[in-house]
Amino acid sequence: MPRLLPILGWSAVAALGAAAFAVLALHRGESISAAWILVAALCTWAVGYRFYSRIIAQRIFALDDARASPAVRLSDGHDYVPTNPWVVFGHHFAAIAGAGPLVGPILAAQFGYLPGTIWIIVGVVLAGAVQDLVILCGSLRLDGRSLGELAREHLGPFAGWTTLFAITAILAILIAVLAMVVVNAMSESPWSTVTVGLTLPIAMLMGVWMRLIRPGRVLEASAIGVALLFGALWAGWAVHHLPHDSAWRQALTFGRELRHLPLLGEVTGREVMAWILIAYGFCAAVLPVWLLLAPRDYLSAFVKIGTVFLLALGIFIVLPDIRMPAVVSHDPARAIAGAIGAGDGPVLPGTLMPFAFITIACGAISGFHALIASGTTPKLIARESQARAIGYGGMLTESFVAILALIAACALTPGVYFAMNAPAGTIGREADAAAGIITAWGFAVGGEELRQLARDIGEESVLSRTGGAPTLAVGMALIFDRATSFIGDLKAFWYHFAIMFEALFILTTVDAGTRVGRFVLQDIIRPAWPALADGTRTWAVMATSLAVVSMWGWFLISGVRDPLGGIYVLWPLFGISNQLLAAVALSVGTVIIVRQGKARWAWITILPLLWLGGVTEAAGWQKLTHESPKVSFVAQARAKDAEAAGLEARIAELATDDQQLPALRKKAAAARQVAFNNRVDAWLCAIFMLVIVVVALDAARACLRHLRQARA
Amino acid sequence: MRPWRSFAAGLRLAWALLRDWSGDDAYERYCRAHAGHGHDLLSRRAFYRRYFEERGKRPRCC
Repeated sequence: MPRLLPILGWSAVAALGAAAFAVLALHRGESISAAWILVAALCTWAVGYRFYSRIIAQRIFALDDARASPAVRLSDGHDYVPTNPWVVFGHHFAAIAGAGPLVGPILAAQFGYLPGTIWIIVGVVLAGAVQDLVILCGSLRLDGRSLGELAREHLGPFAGWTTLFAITAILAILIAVLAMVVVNAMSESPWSTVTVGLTLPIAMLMGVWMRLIRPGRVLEASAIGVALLFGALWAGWAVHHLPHDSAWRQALTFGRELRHLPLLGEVTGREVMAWILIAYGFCAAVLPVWLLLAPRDYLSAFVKIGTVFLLALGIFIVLPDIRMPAVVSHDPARAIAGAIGAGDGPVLPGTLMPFAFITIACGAISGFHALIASGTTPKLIARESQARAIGYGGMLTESFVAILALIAACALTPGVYFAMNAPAGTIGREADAAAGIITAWGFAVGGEELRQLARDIGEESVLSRTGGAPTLAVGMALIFDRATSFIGDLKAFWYHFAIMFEALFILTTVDAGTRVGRFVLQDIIRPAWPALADGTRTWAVMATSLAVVSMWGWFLISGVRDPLGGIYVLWPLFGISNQLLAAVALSVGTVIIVRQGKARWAWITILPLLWLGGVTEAAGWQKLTHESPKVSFVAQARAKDAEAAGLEARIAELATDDQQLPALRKKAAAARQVAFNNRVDAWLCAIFMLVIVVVALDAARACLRHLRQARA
Repeated sequence: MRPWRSFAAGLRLAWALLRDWSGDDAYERYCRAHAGHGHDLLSRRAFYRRYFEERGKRPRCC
């Protein structure tokens, strides 16, 4: 009888989850309650954690508290510190959860709510959490070594160098795409610009407090910082209510107007914002950590955890209806379905298969997590058995954040969702015209509805606010506003609170990522040029920081100048690079399992590796060979070259004093630049695809060699 | 009385975990761990300079 109860209980949980999935998949009404998504997710994750993670923890790695962990064995009070498991979980979660699980699911909502829901819930159980736990356990068994060191140890020097290359490339693209999200969220919004801008002096004040005024009083400084953030929200509100022609408001309206920059001439407001972020990234990387990076990290972590908790609470209280159709690209009633089915979706290019998986990325599996699960977290774990909750449980928690974001986006009216996420080149800049285009796609929305929403959230416009952050902010604002409706209409406050929350931890990734990129770059160049890799020399720190900032800055500026908008181009490249790193981590994980003598369990990493490798290679192949310039980097480069050649031919025909010449020359140069940018993206994509194949083959070779040696 | 005591104990534990996670009590832990080892302890200010430097090396994910 005592054994029967758990069996019955877990069977009931599994049946409930399956029933929720059935309702989500078969429902064909106008809307469906978000409760079904939550039930499907929580039941699947409970079963996955209870049974699937147990296989990894007990059958494969035989985690045993009697075996001293690296933190205990090598304890030095510095790098290796046995730490309370809740505290380790907090560090691990704060490190792995960034903007990816929020932005990816929102962009993937273009395909409908069902593809994202299934991949986030099932993908994390079978792939993402598996990767994190296997790498964490593998690192625990090798003194807490990093992914690059694990790759070198288990696969050889080639894989080690390949991993370092992959980390550098993904860092550059990651920082650029996240900075792009901030540019899109803040442009044309003085309220957001003031609020987010003020977080910098607030963080510096915290830094001075924690370092000089009251050394080490972290919680005290954080409380002051969080209180001041509300002051920053108020300051943004005050600027927003200034007359339109006031100098302050004009200066802070980054967006449509052309600005003059030294050396660059006339540029758009978005480009000015991008250059400001690049300058910020460089300053944050070279300034003392205590002054900016550490206090921002605290501020971001507290706001992140608090807001995610509030969002979960709000969704559980409100249980909003999901208004997005289950699958948009297969819905014959929608004109847009044909475009998405052909790979010309308005939010992101590419068909549901394989691009939905590349787009969701971090919410289901993120290669970047392998960097945290190796090298950092294992040096804090006091007992081996705690790895299961931290590695597998941490990733399930991140996936929960992704599901919350998906719900917030899909609870919006689909017409509003597409108005916010389609580029201006597709729907224009005027509300009535945009509403007409989106209604023709099959999602009824009115121009006045879009204008009213903009007024409600205290913005000039909600059109083409691409990048996912504004969409999430609107979704969160509507949910929070319903939960706090007894106070009054707080949509504008909650919208800008959400933008501040997103910008805070995105900027933390920008500055911490630039700094970590510097360390990785120094590791790479150390054998060839030790002086440049010396972190104690100011010139070396400046030079390597400048190199890292230049790498991501190049992608950012090319994204800002791209005619289809940066997110349209950069996010798929980011998804491919992130999944590449995951494929490298799963390859390393497979070799670790085989070398543990558990080859019969190797399918647990081989299956997600095959799936991930397949979808990433398929997406990469389309980015290189698809005929549509919207999907393929190569086709876009050719189209832009043809456009430039046409313009240059026209220029040759005109007289040298023709008034049209300067404008035509500028357009031709811009087209050539976009063609060049797309060629660089295509080469990177091809290299990523090659790396996945080479590392997977290298892993297969290492596994076979080990098995042959074991038999002999 | 017992539920109140359990609640207060839970709050104390949560506060201790929060201080541990944030590093608010890092200097106290450092002093406890290194007291009586025969070498000079860092000052609070010097300790936190090194502590924040180490925190800055931690990667932040996407």
